[in-house]
Amino acid sequence: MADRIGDLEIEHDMGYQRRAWAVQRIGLGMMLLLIAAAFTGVLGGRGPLASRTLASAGDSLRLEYKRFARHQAPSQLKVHFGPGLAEKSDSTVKLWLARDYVEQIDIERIDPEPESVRAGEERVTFEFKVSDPERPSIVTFNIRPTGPWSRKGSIGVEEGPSFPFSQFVFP
Amino acid sequence: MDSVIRAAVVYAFIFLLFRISGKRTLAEVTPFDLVLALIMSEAIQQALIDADNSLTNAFLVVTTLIAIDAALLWGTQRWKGLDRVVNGLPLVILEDGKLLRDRMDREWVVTDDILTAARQQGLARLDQIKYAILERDGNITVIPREGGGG
Repeated sequence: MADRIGDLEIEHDMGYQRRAWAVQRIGLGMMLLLIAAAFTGVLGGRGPLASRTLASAGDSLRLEYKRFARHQAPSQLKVHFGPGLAEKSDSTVKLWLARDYVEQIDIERIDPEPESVRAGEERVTFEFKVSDPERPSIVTFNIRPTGPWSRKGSIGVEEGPSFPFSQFVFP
Repeated sequence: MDSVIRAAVVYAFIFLLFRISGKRTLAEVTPFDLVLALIMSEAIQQALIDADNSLTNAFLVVTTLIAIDAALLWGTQRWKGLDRVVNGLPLVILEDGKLLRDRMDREWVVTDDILTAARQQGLARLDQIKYAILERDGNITVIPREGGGG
């Protein structure tokens, strides 16, 4: 395909060159889009769309978590207990997470530490003491998602409200 | 397996970025580019090896990167079409002392870049140049007019 331009022997193809420029432009646009997307939070990290809050009917159990997380990046599950959720007799909340979900995260620390953790067939149950069952309280799971892509989880309180949630983990 | 996939994905991503950002972007390595390269390698390194610091993983990653490189080299000399995609084509940006502005603009080349290349060959002015070519590697080569152009 080596043609000549004057006495210059060179492979020169303006048709191809123009197509290459067009592709290059699209690519540059996509680079900008990627950076813009990072600011919205849909790629994980910080941003208005990164986090989401779900609540049970009546708002007695609320979960604040990263809708878009990243593989092995620190992230949180913030669980809000509404007033009246704890058992009045011993001020405990028995919070459970779906076993499938727990297997796909590393739990680094739970704040406050649960009194006990019990493994079940489909659920892992964490028992927390709250200072005042009539007032709201919060527990935080510091986690790192392991392995990428989409996963479903569910959270609930024994004999109480529960709901599913979904999370996307970028590789 | 995941070491190989990770290395391949990183290779593809960096290749795309370099190809998209144009011939000129990293053609000449300025001191700043050198620092940039170090920062980029630092940023990509963790993702490339994940938490696996074993020699096996390091060898697999390096082997994959070099194998892809070798495969591309083999493929580009076998198939012209692939060669164009991977390496691009040279582009004449000055002909008979006349600047081809639209091409220069597309590749972000300024007149000074051509004059710099000319000076390296002992040419002082644009009208002494017969052709200036933006090569596939991003460098500019200059062919003087015959008879020195005065």
